Amino acid sequence: MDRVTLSALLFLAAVPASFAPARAADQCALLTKTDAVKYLGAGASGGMHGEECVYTRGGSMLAVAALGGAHGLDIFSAFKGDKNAKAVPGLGFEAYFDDGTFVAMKNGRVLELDYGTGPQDAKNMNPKLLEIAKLALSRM
Amino acid sequence: MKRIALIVGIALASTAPVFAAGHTCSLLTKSEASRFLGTPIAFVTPESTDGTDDCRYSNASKSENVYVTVDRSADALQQMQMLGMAHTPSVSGIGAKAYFQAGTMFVQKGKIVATVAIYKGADSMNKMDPQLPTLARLLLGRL
Repeated sequence: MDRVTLSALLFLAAVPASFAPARAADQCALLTKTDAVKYLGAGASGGMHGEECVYTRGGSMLAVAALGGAHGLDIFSAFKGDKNAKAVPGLGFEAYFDDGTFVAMKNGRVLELDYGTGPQDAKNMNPKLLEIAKLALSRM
Repeated sequence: MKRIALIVGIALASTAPVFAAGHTCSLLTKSEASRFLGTPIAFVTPESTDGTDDCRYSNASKSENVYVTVDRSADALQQMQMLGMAHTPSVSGIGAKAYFQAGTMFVQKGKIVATVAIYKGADSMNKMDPQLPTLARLLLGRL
C-alpha cells in the first residue's frame, strides 16, 4: 500500500463519523393516528405542524411534542413558575397543567400536550389527558 | 517529507477524539449502560431532539432506559444559564456546572452540554439516582 492510498483510507475513516446528519424529531411517534382516533373519534387526522404533531376532528384537537434544550426548559419553567398552573399528581413525574396544556419532563426533554374537546378542557384537565400523557411519556 | 507529515496529521486527527458529533451512542457501551440501569440493555437507539445527538439504552420491554444527550449549540449554554437562574439544585464536582432536575442531570464541559438520565419508572424521576453522578463523570471524561 503506497502512502497516498494509506492517507486516503485514513481520511475516509475519519470523515463519516464527523458528518452524520442529526435526525429530525418525529413528534407523531409519541401519539399515533390510532391513538388520535381513540381519543378524538373516528375520522381524526393530522401530522406535523411546526414543532408539534397535531391531530384534529371537528372542533377537537390533540397536539403533542417532546422539546429539548433551552426551548423545552423555557416552557417547563414557565409552567413551574406560573401561579395559575396546577401541579398534576398521580404520574410520578413533575407535571403541570394550565389553560388546556399539560407539561412534564422525562429524560431531560419536556412533553407538551394539548387535548381539547371543548372550552371546558381549557379550565379543568380532561381526565383522559392523564391517560394520554402516560402513553406519550412511555414513548419518550 | 510533507506527505509523511500529512499522513501523520490525518492519522492523529482520525484517532484522537473518543467522541464525534452524531455518535453519542459511542460514549457508553451497552454493558456500562446495563450496569447503571441494573438490568440488561436490549436496545441501543440513536435519537435526536431539536438537532441534538441523543442515545437511548433500553431494557427488553423498553420500560426503563439510560438516556444521554450531547448538545454543542449556543442553545444548550443558554439552557444551563436558565437552570442556574431558576435556582435548580446544583451538583458539585461534576464538570464546570451540573444541575439536577426531574430525573435528569445537566452537565457542562467547556461549550458542550450533556444531559444524562436513568429512568427506572415514574417514581425514579423525583429523586436523583445514586448512579447518576458516576454516569455523568464517566461521560464527561469521554467528551
